[in-house]
Amino acid sequence: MRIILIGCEYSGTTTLAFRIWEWVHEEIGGYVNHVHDHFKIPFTVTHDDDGYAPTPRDFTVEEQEQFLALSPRIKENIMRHNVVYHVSGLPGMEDKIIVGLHIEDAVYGELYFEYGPRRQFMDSIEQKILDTAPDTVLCLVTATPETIRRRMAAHPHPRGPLKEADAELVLRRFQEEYDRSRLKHKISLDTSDTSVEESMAEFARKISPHLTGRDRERMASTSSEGA
Amino acid sequence: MRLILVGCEYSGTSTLGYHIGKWGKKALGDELGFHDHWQIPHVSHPSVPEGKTHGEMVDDFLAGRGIDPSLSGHTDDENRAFLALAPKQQESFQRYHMEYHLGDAFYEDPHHNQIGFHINEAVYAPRYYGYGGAGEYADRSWYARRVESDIMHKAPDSVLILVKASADTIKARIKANPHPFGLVQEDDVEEVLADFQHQFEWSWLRHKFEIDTTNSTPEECLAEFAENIEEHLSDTDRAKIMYRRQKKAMSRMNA
Repeated sequence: MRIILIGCEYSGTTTLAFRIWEWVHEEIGGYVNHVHDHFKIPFTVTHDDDGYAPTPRDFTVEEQEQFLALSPRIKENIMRHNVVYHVSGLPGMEDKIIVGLHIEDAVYGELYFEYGPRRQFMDSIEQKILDTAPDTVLCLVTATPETIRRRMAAHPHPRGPLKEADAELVLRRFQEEYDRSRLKHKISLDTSDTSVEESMAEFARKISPHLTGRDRERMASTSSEGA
Repeated sequence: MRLILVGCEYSGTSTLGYHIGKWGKKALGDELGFHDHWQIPHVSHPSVPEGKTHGEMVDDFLAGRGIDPSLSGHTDDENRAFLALAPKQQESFQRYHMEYHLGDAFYEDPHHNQIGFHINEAVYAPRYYGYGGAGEYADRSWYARRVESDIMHKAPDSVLILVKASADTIKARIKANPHPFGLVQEDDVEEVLADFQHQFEWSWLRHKFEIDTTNSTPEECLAEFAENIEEHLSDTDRAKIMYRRQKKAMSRMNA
């Protein structure tokens, strides 16, 4: 199962991604090597292989500041290569979980990091996904602006890109990009009033029609092993 | 044409690349640009000043009037900021950078040429960048072979060219014209030259040759390149060269 989770910061993409990671292992019998959640400046490098953390644990404050100190064109350059690298790797792995990717990079890049227009690049990325891993599922994780603000106040991400005043705008931009995406398999989840486990259950239900034949075979084999 | 020019800084890779570009235009009628942005912190394409073209920048450089365009991609502040990144950030970027330039879209073009690329990383990363040593994550010698395995599938006609010079020549060039944010230190020259030679010999690419620039002018090096590349040319490039030669001969006859 290949999945790209997108959504406004604090909507729950990272939390859900790590829960899906477990689900893929437990229910599908698959293997996800990392949750690739490093497309949101300045959190651009690491994987938290020990499980969920709201922001990367082994990417120091100093390293984040170093990244933020780069000029817009170098930031853009690094992130463009980051996105392409991970799209090139999509077909090579049966199970992959990516958070953000081209859509997150474009939404925040244009809004906060002085990128130029990203449309052409995004189109080329989606074409590459359609050509090489057409079964990839795009999952929009959303929440109300009030929920986003409440979570932001309760557990702020130091150096996270989202500005409180932009919650509506950023939510709208993710929705627009989700609607606009040419990927064939899409689902959306609203986490405003649900627990992580409820969101996970909703994900499991909604992803079902988009599972590949191979996913279903593995799932059947996993459940018969457990029986 | 798929050329990969590699060699110690100051051996003359960029200069030869510019001359090959001009030769390509004349001999094949094609633009033969090079991706010459692999040596940290020079990891972006040249910044072409307003009112100038890249070709004019190259001409100025070759005439001794301007900076090597391959060193102009960033401002000094940008170079300093890039160098301040942690090794793991530089490592990941360079790995993404290599993968990007292995993309099918590049290899669908008739020409895809590089200066440095994976061999630069294999030589420089463990010595100067603080990553990619033997047994470390993304060990660059191992990664270089992985890159070559990909190239062998996509473009088996790729030609690896080792551009070299004697250690004394490299040291003299460092003294005469030090590069802004240059990498190779005088004391390391012998070892860096040996590392490039080793990587060249280790390379899985089947088409390869060397050019020694110690006692030759850039024009002489280009002539050596033109002679050596002949047996490695693809049928398409060979046909283009033959066509232009014939066309030239015909117009001489008609004149």
